[in-house]
This record gives sequence, structure tokens and C-alpha cells, in this order.
Amino acid sequence: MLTMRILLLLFMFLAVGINVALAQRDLKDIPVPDPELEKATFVLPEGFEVNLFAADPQIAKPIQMNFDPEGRLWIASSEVYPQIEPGQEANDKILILQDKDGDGVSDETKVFAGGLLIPTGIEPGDGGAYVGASTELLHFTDKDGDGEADERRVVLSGFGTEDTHHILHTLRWGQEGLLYMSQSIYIHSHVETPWGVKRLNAGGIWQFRPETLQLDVFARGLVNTWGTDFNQWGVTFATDGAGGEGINYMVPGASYVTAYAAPRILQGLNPGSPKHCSLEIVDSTHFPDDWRGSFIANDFRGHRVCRFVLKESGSGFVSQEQQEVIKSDHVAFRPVDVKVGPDGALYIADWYNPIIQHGEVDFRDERRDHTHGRIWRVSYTGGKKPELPKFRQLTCEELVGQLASPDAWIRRQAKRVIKERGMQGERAEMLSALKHWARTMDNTAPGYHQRRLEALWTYQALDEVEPELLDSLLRSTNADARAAASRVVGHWWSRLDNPQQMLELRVQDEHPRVRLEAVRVLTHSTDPHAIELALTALDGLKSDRDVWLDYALWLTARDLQPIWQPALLGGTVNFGGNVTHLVFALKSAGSSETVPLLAKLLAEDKLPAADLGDALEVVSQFGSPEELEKVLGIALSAPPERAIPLLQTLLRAGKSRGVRPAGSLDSFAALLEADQPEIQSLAARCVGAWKFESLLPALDIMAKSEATLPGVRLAVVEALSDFENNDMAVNTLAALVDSSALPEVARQAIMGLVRARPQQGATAAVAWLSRLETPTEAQPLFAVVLARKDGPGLLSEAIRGQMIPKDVAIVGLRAAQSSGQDLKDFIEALRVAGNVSTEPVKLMPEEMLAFVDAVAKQGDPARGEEIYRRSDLACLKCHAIGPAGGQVGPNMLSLGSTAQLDYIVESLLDPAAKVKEGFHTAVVASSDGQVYSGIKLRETDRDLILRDAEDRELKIPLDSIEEQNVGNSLMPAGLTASLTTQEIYDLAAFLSALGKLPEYTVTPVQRVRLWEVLNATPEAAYQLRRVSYAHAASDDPAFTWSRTYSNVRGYFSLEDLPSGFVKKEFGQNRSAAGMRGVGFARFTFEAAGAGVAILKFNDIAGLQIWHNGLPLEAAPEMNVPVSMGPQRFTFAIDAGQRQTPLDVQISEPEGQTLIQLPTGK
Amino acid sequence: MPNVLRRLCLFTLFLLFSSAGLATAQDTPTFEFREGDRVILLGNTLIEREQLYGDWEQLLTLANAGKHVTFRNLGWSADTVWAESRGIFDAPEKGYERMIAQIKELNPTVVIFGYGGVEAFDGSARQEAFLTQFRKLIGDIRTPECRFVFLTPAVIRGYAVPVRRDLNVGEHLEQYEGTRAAVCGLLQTLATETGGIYIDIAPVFADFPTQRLTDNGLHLNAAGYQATGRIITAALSPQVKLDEIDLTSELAQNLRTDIRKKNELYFHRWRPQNFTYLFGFRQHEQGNNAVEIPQFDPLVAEIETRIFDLAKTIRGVE
Repeated sequence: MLTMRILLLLFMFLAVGINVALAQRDLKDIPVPDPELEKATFVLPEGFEVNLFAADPQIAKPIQMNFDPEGRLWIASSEVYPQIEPGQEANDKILILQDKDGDGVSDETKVFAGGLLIPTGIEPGDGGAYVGASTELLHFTDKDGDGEADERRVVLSGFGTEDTHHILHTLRWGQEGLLYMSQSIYIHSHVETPWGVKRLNAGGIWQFRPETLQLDVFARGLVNTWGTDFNQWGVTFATDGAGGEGINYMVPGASYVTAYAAPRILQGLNPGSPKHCSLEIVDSTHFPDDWRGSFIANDFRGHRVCRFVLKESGSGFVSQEQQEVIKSDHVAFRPVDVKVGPDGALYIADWYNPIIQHGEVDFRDERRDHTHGRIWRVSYTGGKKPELPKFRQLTCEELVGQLASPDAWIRRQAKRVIKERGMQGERAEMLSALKHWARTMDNTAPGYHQRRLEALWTYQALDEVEPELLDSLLRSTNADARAAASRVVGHWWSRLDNPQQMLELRVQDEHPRVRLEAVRVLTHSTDPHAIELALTALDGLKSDRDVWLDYALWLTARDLQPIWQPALLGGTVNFGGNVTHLVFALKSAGSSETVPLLAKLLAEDKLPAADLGDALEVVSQFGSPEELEKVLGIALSAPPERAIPLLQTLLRAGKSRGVRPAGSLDSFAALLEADQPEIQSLAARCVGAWKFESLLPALDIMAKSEATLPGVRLAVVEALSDFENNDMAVNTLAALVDSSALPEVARQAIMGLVRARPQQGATAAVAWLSRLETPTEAQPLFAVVLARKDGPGLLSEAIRGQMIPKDVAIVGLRAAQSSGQDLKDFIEALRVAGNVSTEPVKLMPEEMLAFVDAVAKQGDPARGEEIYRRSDLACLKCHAIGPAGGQVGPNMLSLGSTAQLDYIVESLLDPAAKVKEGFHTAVVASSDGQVYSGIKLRETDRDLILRDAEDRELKIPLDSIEEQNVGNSLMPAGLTASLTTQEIYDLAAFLSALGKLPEYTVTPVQRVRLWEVLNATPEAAYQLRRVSYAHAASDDPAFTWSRTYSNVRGYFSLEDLPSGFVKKEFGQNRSAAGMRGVGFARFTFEAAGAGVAILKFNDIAGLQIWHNGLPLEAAPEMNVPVSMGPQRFTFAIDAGQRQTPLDVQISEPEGQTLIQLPTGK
Repeated sequence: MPNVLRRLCLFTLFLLFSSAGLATAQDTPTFEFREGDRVILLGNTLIEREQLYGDWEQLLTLANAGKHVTFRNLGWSADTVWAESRGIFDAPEKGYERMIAQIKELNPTVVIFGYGGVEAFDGSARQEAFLTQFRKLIGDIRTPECRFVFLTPAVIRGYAVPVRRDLNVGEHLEQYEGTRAAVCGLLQTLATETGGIYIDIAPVFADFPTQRLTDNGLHLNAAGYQATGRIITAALSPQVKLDEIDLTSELAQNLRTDIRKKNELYFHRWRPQNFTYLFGFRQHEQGNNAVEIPQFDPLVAEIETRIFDLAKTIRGVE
């Protein structure tokens, strides 16, 4: 019988093995849903095991889960998801699972509540459970304790439902007994409470005290804000189910990616990560010691349960991914939640679905699974199993004593029950037990500080202010305790005698995170001097690159601006004369009223060099004409090095706000004749930006004169372009469009002419394009044409019947297609003029099937990777794979494990057909006739910020926006037009292998992925011949470097190494035919302090290495001492001695976290 | 402004408006539902949550059995006369435009407003703007046959709200109550201007302890909707003796269940989940499924027919 079963399983396993592969290809097949088959695909670290805790049919489609103090697991589950059908009954459920005999398997499933519409959050508490469902936060009460709800109550309502995978979710009790809840990017919530209305647009984390209905926004942003947890010191972290930055350290009140109306955001700790959902910080005695404090989050697309280790860095953290907790290639394994259970083991909710996509896959796609779901349990073989206390039966003293448990699960549940019993009549007894416990702790025992903090948080949960304990924790010898206590000051602000005074020492704490917490809490103050106190956090910092503290100060300065600004102007706040503090406050929350203070400091030359840039930025953004006049006065009498930044400031004010200095500008003419070309150029540009007509004749002469230096002339022509209504200026531009001696000047003149006399400009543009030899030079011209509403039409008109070089047309086509605008006629005109074909290819279903089949049979992922890396296709320019590459489009890291092949093929052939969430183009028309397009990054109270196809950020003042529309994908259609069919098969095969096949999966090991290679120019070759290879490690301007990337596995290919350098050695010319030469590559990273970097190589054949210009002896493993700052490693690679690609792994000694490898382009 | 001064101002405002109120109270027009009346309920959480309970509709339907009066609940949590909750991905102004378009399409003959509660939290600063904007809203949806009803915001009693140790609750509520009183005066003005009906729901809070009528001091619960339903029905169907209607019978309970079900279906119709994909900027992905949404219409119509029949049976009318 047993043999039969094994045989059967084996058979089914084989069958599913084929199915898994087919599922991506075949539109109909889905894997056999046997949990054993799924489990067989799980790979765990040595010593860990996994078992099935519960599965369908007992449960289906688990979304969130949480344990109650009885050790029961509560699950929110939805079969209706993603969208209720007309006539369908909303009957989703809250389930309770119980493992009664403690064998790690659920014995009983109860339906606690039904009749729900897509419940997305569940947290037991207060005699039942809180449930997030649709527009409401509900509370279900179980009055008789039979495990079934008797009463349903709306606690809060008004949450948005614009996307059912974004609605109110991720419910979790915080360390202080508050309920944290998330909503995601498309949600807009409007909630009434007896204390007023709370609104939250887009993503964020709510903080809620159910018994008082106090509702606040704890943090804003993240794309799909899906996973929140607190470490043992109450520091808050979150994950993002649709963002790519791994673990996020959440600063109270801060904004993160996609936050609504946020002028500045904080980044996550693992940029270049796949999406991660749910978060559990392991604080359990069951697991090995090195797991304690680990962060567990799910890569639901890549079928992985991931583990991260965080270490402190300044006021924040650095995070490093470790080996996966579970890795699987089962297409339906979708881990969506993870929690530590009462036995200390990890419980993982598996949504079980071959299709996860929401928007991209039809709501009614039959491959969507509605009936399965699993809970997996991961344990450590031989790990301890904590005893489950009967919390509700303990005396108050015993219950409070549980707060000392080394298991966070027990501490958290004890705190819950203390609070609930405290609210149900045992308040006095609980407070007395707590007081006694807090006062009689052994201050030498390990965990002492954390326990005192638990006591403080329990007071907070009971809403009982305890100033004495708070004060003592603020003075603790433990920095984590001081940081956590500082946050509590904010919660009790209105009830403490002098909260601001309590924070005085903490703002200047030796630990930067304590400073950060204290600075954020000062936001509660109504004292104008609070800002002065907050900014003392800048003093005596060991590192001035602490992005989190900098952000916290910026945010607090903005929050408090209505209080301090009047006091500053009235003279009662003066930052004690500290100019650095003043400038920081003003750069954070600048306003025109405060510019005179800066202008005065400028005039008196009292601005320290380090603050000058910030101060001038405030002046350029807010300075009135009168203040700008003062700045100009200073510039006119200043030496060149001082005048240049001032003139740049005036130019920015003119360009961005159209403001020019007041008063007579007569003395300005002299600057056009200055000795320094840079000042001449700046002066000319200012004349244009200010529309300063009386100096136009002078510009005109300079533009026409051959004696004007080329750089200056370019600036002059640019300035003339600003006088689009002045005949003299425009006639001069028209005269310069043919100046073939200076192609850049000619192009600039044409660009000006396009603005002034569009028709004439378009004709000149076509003439210029038709004789252009370097196609890329056409890019700025096309940009100008596309930025005008009438531009594309006029150029189409002018180009009709004309011919331009094919490559020039391709540059134009790329510009047009990546503009996100609908430019059919223009594209057609360019196509005809350049004789190129670019139509998106739309396949019929049967053609798609054949195509997908061909990809599977004939596609070669290795060749596909080469195509992906081809510079003419520029895939990597926009789509990173893991940490390396551009950020314009979605990261391709685990595309193959998440997207079906048909979806990939369609996206290649017809990019506009389906667009990934967050990657729609915004097309914005502004009042000055400009059209901008790009991915919307954020919107401040003043500007809209887009990222264009060139990965640049565009800032558009909101006032100037006339119209805003959603456009197509930024990915140009017809990118594949230059590829053969076989090449498309290969490319698709490669993309579908990403994150699926091991050699196309980015592993957590830190590898060098961003390289620069030395371009093989004659100048570089000359310098290398003249000096030595070591010279490549210098900053010689004769060297130019190009960006290149390691492949997906992390290997740097020698094919990417230009090797045209000539070097004779032993009488041989090594670049002669049949001989391969030497090439040079380098990479850099930042070290946050002094320490050691461990470099490991796959092979050191043919390598010479320099570290910051000094030679190192190459070895397979090298310990390189590093000091704080940038570290550069330069390699001479002799391709004659080496055939293998280069793999460089970088690690650090245990306990050190100083190294952050760069990511991005 | 010092507290005393502010209170004095509010008191003056209150006097002004309450005297105006007295004047209008004497010649309050009487109201009667007509055959086939199309009623829209428009406002904030007070209106939005009514659809969960259905008590107002149950009473009004029974009081007007045989007249085929339909109800469409367009309440939106925390909404204001500026449609501040209705912008979704756009500014509130766009949400307001969509709301007006929807109302015009429904072509109501009666609109019951439940606005002013959120505004009452804003202090006195926006009162004049509230009146102006409310007039605009009325002007934008007004038709010759459309009649207006103005419900007052809820009264919040200190003993009914949650206990707070960090806030002077009394002071907070005093501010709310002051503004609420002023808002009520403005609503009376609007009722006078439009020949509409002003219904003060405050008396229920005097008759009953508000703990029993609200979940949290602000939002009505089942008992609260029942109690306010009686006040509303008395005002809008004065000819009907409420005591003669048995709300506890099985059929009356069934009627309420059907009303709730109808409201749920209509909610899916006008505020469907996944708006982003069905009608918003990602409609190119799931817009094909938007065809399902109008399929709720026949379901609403079907259940509405049952509601009419049931009401007639219960009241014994033809």
C-alpha cells in the first residue's frame, strides 16, 4: 500500500514537473494541486523542515493571518477575490484554525464569520476580531466564546476600494497596543471619527487606538504597503508588495515611494529587490541564535520565503538578504503572509495560485484559482518549543511576569491580554502588578532594558502615563531604550509636565537614532523654540551622510514651520546665531518671507562654504526681485569664483520662476565682456532668461561674431532663443541654422527657430537632419520638437517628400515612441523619410500559441541574454535585472517566475498592450505650450515630478499644468523591429527564464554588478603606452569610461571589455590578429567607515588589481582594509591569459556592515 | 480667538439663525410622497451607513406603500458639499462633477441631504463657504419637480464618546456643538430658500441616551437609525400614523432584509470595487469586465419589485 502510494506520488511528481514547465507556456494547464507535490519542490536551509499545517478544502485563499492568545490561528480568506460577479453572493470568511494536540498540524477549522466581501485583514482582539473588508474596519464579537461571531460592528468606514488588492489590510498590534493597518497606492480613504475626519490618499500605514477611536497616519507611501512589524525595541519596518526596495525602515511620519503629495521620500534598505509582501521579525527561542532578529518576508512572485539580516548604520539600518527560508519552483506556491506561532515556528500562508496578477490578467481568467490555499509550518529540527501560557487564567502578577519572556510571541500576547483585562475591570490590579514588576526587576539580568521598555509600552497600552519610568528610560544606558522611550514622549505629549525638556538631551544623543526619534517627536510642540532644539541634532555628528536623520529634521522643520517662521521673522527665534541651523530650516521649509535673512548673510559674507549651496537654492526658489537685486549687486563686485554661483542662482530664478532682479540692470552689460568664458555664458543666459531686451543688440553681435568662443556662442544663441517675439533675435537665429562649422550652434539656432517660427524651424530642422552624420546628435532637436504641441505636426509636414538617414530617423522614432504621446502621423512621416518599419505586432490567439511554442522549442536564453545586453536595444537602460540597470521600467528580476510566456511575448511585440502598475505615462501639457511625458514619481504641493524615458526627473510646476492625461507605455513599440524572429524567440526565452532557472536568477550573494570599462580611444591607448597599466587606476582625463553590467548570474563578460589598446610585451604586438589584448574595468562602492572588504574571485588568471590607485596582489580571496569613503578597484584584464568571465563577490567580516554596493544605472 | 469670544460669536450666530428658524417653522411646507418618486439620499457617513441598516427606507416604504417610491443611497463617508471624499484619483472638483452627472442621470424628484456633520468639525471658518457651495450644489441638480430635504448633523454627547485621557473632550465637543448649531441654522435657511423640508434629528438624542443610539457618540447604530427614521417619516409622511405600522413582523423584517440587499447591489453598481481597472486609468486592462457592472441593474429592479409588493401586502393596500 505504502509502495503504491509512493509510486503514485512519484508518478504525479513527474507529471507535475512537466506541468510546471508547461504552465508558463500552455494557456490552459495548471499544476496538480496536491500539497505533497508542492512540498516536494521546497528547498530549505540545512536543519530546517517544513510541514503542512492546514490546506484546502478546510481553508481556501488565505490573505492575512494572526494568532490569538489561545494559540489559535485566525485567517481572512476570500474566494470572491478579485471582483464580485453580478448575482454572486459575497460569502468570504474569517476562519479559526487550532492545533489542539500541539503536533504542528491544525485539528479544527471553524468559520468565525461569513458573509464578507473580500476581507483583507484580520487581527484578533477585544473579545473577537478586527477585520478589514471593503470600505470598513469591522469588529466581530464572540460573546459566548464558541468560536463563532455573535455581533458585527462597523468600527471605521470610508476606506477606498479602487483596487481589491490594496484595500485596508495588514492589521497588526503594535508594541504599544495600537492597531496598525495598511492601505496601498490606489486607495483613497475618508474616515469620520468623533475627533474629526482623517483622509489618506494613496498608500500608507494607519495607527489606531480602537477604544478611543484615535486614528492617525503613521507613515505614507509604498506601492503596496504590505507587511509591518516592530523589532524588540519598537522600531518599525515595512515591506512593499509592489515596490523593489526590500525592507523599509519606517520613520514616524515619513513618506516613501509613491506617497501622495510628498516632496521628498525615504528609500528602502534593499534597492533592486523583487517585490516582498508581509513581514515577521523572528524573535523566538525555537530558532538558532543567528536567526534571532531576522526579517522574514515573502517573494510571492519568485516562490520564495526570504530572510534578511539588518544591522545599524547611523540612525538607520543596512539590510542583507540571506539564504531563503523556502525556495521553490512550484508555479502556484504564493507565500503571502508569515507569522511566528505559539510554538515558535514560522507559519506561512500560501495563497496557492498559478496566476497572481491583478490588472494584467483578466478578472475572469479561468486560470485564477478560487478554491485552494495552504498554511505551511517551518521549524528547526530539535528547536525549543516554548510553553503556551493560559493567559486569561493567570493572576495579574503572573500575566505581567510573561512580559519577561524571551519569546516575542508570548510578550505580545501577554500585553494584549493585560490590556483587555485592564479594560474589563482589572485596571487597578494590572497597573499595580505592572508597577511592582517594573520596580523590582534585576538590573543586572540580561534583557533588563528591553523588559523595562515592555513595562513602559504596557502602560501606554493601558493609556496610563508613567512619567517616572519614562524619564528613567530616556536616561537609560541602552540607546535602543532611549530611542523607544523618546517616541513614547510624543504619545503622552499633552499629559507630561515638560515634554520638550525631556527631549533636550536626546536630541543630541550619542546615538543618531535616538536623535532621530526625538527630532520627530518635537513635531508635537507648539513652542517656536522647538525648531532650535531640533536642529541641535545636526551638531557633533560623526557622519554627515545620515539620510534618515537628515530627513527627520527636514520633516520636523516643515511640520513646525507655521510656528517658527513668524517667530524667526519677529526675531524671537534666531538659532543662537548658528547659520548652519538657520540654513537647514530654510532649505527645508523655505518661503519668500525668509529670503531677506539669507540675502543679508550673503552680503555680509557670513554663509559658511558648506551652507552656501543650500542657501542659494532657497534664494533661487523664493527670492523676490528686490532680494535678487541685492544678490546681483554682490555678484557684480565679487571675484569670479564667488560670482559664478550667484549668477547661477539668478539664472535659475529666471528660468524656473520668470523672476528677474529689480532695479536698473545697466551694469550687467560688463559681464558679457568678462574675461572668464563661464561668466560670459552665464550672463548671456541670464539676459535670455530675464528677457532683458536692452542687451539684445550686444547678444546679437556676439552671436554673429566668429571671434566669440564656441561655448559662449552656444550660450548666446540659447539666450537669443528666449526672445521668440523679437525679429532681430529670430533673424539672427535663422541666419545661423546653416553654420556648418559649428553644428551645435546650428542645432541650437534651429531649436530656437522652432520655438519662434515653427514652420521655418521645421524646414531648417529637416535640412539639418538630412545631412547629419552622427545620429545621436539629433536627440535634443527631436526633444524640442516633441515638447511643442504643434511640433510633431510641423516636422511631419516639412519632412514629407524628403529623405533623412535611416539611423537619424530611428533616433527620432525612439524619441517619439518613448514620449508616451500619440504621434501616429509623425512616426509614419519619419518612417517613410528614413525608410524604417516600426509597427507593433499584434498576434491572433492561434499565432500566439504557435509563437509561444516556438519560443519554448527554439529559444535560447543564453543568446537571449546577449540580445538583452545589446546597446542598440538599450533594454538595460530602462529595465534593471536585480540591482543593476535603469529604473524607468519594471525590474525584470523574477519576470520568468511571475509572468506567463504569452504575456512576455505580447509585451515585447506590442508594449502598449499591457502596462505594469506604476509604469503608465503621464502626459502633461503646460501653459507655456510644452508637453512633458514620463512616469509619475511624486507630486509636491508645488510641482509634479516625472521620470522620463532617459531616466531623468522632470519637475513641472503645478500652476503651469493645463491638462494631464494618462499615456501609453514609455517602452517604444517596434524595438524588436531590428531583430530577426529567431532573436525574438531567444529574447523571450531569456526573459521567461529570469528568476526561474538557477543560472538566470539573482542570488542574495553580494556581487559586483555595475562596472565601468575603459573606452579604447587613441588618447587612452597613448597614455597607457606612455605610462603603464597602473595609470588606468588614475583619474587621467584622457580616459573615458562606459557603464556595463555583469550578467544575471553576476558574471562580468570579457566580451564587454574593449581591448583595442596596443601594448608590446616580449616583442609581441598583443592586439595583432589572433591575439587578444588587455582591457580595463573598474567598480566602486562606498564604505561607511574603516573596516575590511573581503573580495572573492572565481579565477584570478590574467588579473591585475589596484585599490584606490595602489596595487594589490591578486589572490582568490583578498581581505582589503578600507577607510570611510569611496573605494575604487581597477582591473587590468589580459584576455590572452584569461577566458573565463569575472565573478567578484564582496562580503564583510562577521559583525561589520560598512559596505553598500551601488545599484541602478 | 479666545474661547469666550468665540463662544460669544457662535451664540450670536445661533440666535440669529434660530430666530430665522422660528420664522420658517411656522410656515413649514408639508410634504407628501407622490407616485413613482425617485429619492436620492446624499451626504456623508450618516447617509452612507443608512444603507447597511435600511430602517429609514423601511419606514418610508411602508408609510408610502403602493406609491412605488425608489431610494438610491449616494452617501460617501466624510463627504462635504465640496464632494471632498469623491475625487478618487482626481481633485474633489472632478468628483463633484461626476456626482452631479450621476444625480442628473437618476433624475430625482426628492433629494434628502445629510451634509454638515463633517463641516461642523471644521470650526466656524468655512460656514459662509458652506452655504455658498450648498446653494451651488442645489442649483446644479435642481429641476422643477425636485424637492429637497435637509437633515441636521448628529448631536454628540460627552458621555457617549470614548473616554480620552489625553484630550479635553468637553472643550472639543463644545466647539463641535457650537458649529453644528450654526450649521443647522444654515440648513434652515436653505430649506426656506428652496421650499424644502428641514428635519432636525436632534430630538432623538434628547429622548434616548445616545450610547444606545450610536456606536461611538457620532455614528448611528441600528437603534439610532430606527429612532431617526421615525422622525424623518413623521416629517415626510405626516398623514401616516406611525404607530399603525408593525415593524417587528416577519414580513416587515423581510422587507428590511430586501432593502439592505437592494442597497448592496446598488452599491456594487455605482461604486464598484476595482474602479481603477474597470473605469479608471487602467481600464485598458480590465475595462472589458466593466460590462458586468450594468448587470446589477436588473438585479436591483427585480428586488425593488419585491419590495413594492411586500410593502403593499404588509400595509394591505392595492
